[in-house]
Amino acid sequence: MRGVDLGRTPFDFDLTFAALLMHPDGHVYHRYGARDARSADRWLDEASFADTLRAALDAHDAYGLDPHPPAPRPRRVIEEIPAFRKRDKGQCIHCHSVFPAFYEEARDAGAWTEDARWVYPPPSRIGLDLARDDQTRITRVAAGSSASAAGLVAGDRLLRVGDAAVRTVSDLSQALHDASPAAQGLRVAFERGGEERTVSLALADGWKRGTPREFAWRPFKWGFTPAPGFGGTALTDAERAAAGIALDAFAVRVTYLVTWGDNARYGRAAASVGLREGDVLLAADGKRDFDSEAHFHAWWRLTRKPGDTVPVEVRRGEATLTLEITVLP
Amino acid sequence: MLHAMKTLVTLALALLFGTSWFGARSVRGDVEWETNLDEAFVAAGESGRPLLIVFR
Repeated sequence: MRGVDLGRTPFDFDLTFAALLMHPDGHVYHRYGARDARSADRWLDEASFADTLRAALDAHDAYGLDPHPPAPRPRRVIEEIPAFRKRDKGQCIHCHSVFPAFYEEARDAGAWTEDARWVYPPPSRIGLDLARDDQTRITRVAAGSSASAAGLVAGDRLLRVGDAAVRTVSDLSQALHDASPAAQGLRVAFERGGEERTVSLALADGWKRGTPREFAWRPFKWGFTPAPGFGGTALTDAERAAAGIALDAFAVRVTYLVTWGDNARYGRAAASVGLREGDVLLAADGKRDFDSEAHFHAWWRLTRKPGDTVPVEVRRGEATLTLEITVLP
Repeated sequence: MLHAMKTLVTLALALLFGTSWFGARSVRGDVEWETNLDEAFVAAGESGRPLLIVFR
């Protein structure tokens, strides 16, 4: 990302593949590349990519009749953000370095808000799931969701959210990202039976906030504090069998306690109550339904607050221990 | 148009195996590469063609 103008090409910087189809004046026709908790390539599909490219070429032809470039933004590159500069070693800057730089910059300026964590909400945030090969087509509407209340049903095809044309999950996610956390509603245009319709989607207070499970895939989570101060790897099936732990249970062997960098205090706090490398983490605060170590980290970093005491259940040999870790600022 | 689109798809898939980010512009089915994003914007502005930018 070195030298890339972040204001001119905004996208979900946590992604491993993101495509922007745009006019050189900054107007983005469509975006491609998204991800969710299910898999890294959940939304990458050759057919839908080809459709998106075709749609972008058509949009480009039409745009010449009514150009409406976005307001110019000041040039901004990551290596000039002070929070990042202190870590810049002159090497390749990965895309996922951008969100943590924004976070630290806002936090240091006292301008960080809880809502700002929830970047690029997935379709599920408003209750939608879409087809992979035609990402305008709704395949499921969650009961009780905003989309359900607005009357959207499976089979409807999204056309626009607000003023943004929607062709892909990435387009939808960008529209949700751009919407204010204080927004009360979203105007959604869709097609049903060949007829275009529009509904207003009501948004509840806090609608931008998701769940640790949904957030777990994001590299962004590693930048948040407080941190647990330790981590490890999931037990193999053979290790579970030997330890008498169910195959589908959460079980992570602690392979490190953080003793370096800005988060060393968290590692010391965990060590001070007796946590050791080799312990097997089974639960935290009574919660056992973590999907992965990443989910555990996202949960801790997004939901624990300084001053909390977190009982952590670990297996050590034949014994099961509960260690109470105090969460530091 | 169809040839241009196929070329773009081929290019975009090829980018999956690239090493960094690229800018690219399409000129009537022929694709020119720009590995400098600023220059890609300038070139697209001059040619009147859309940009396909892939970050990975």
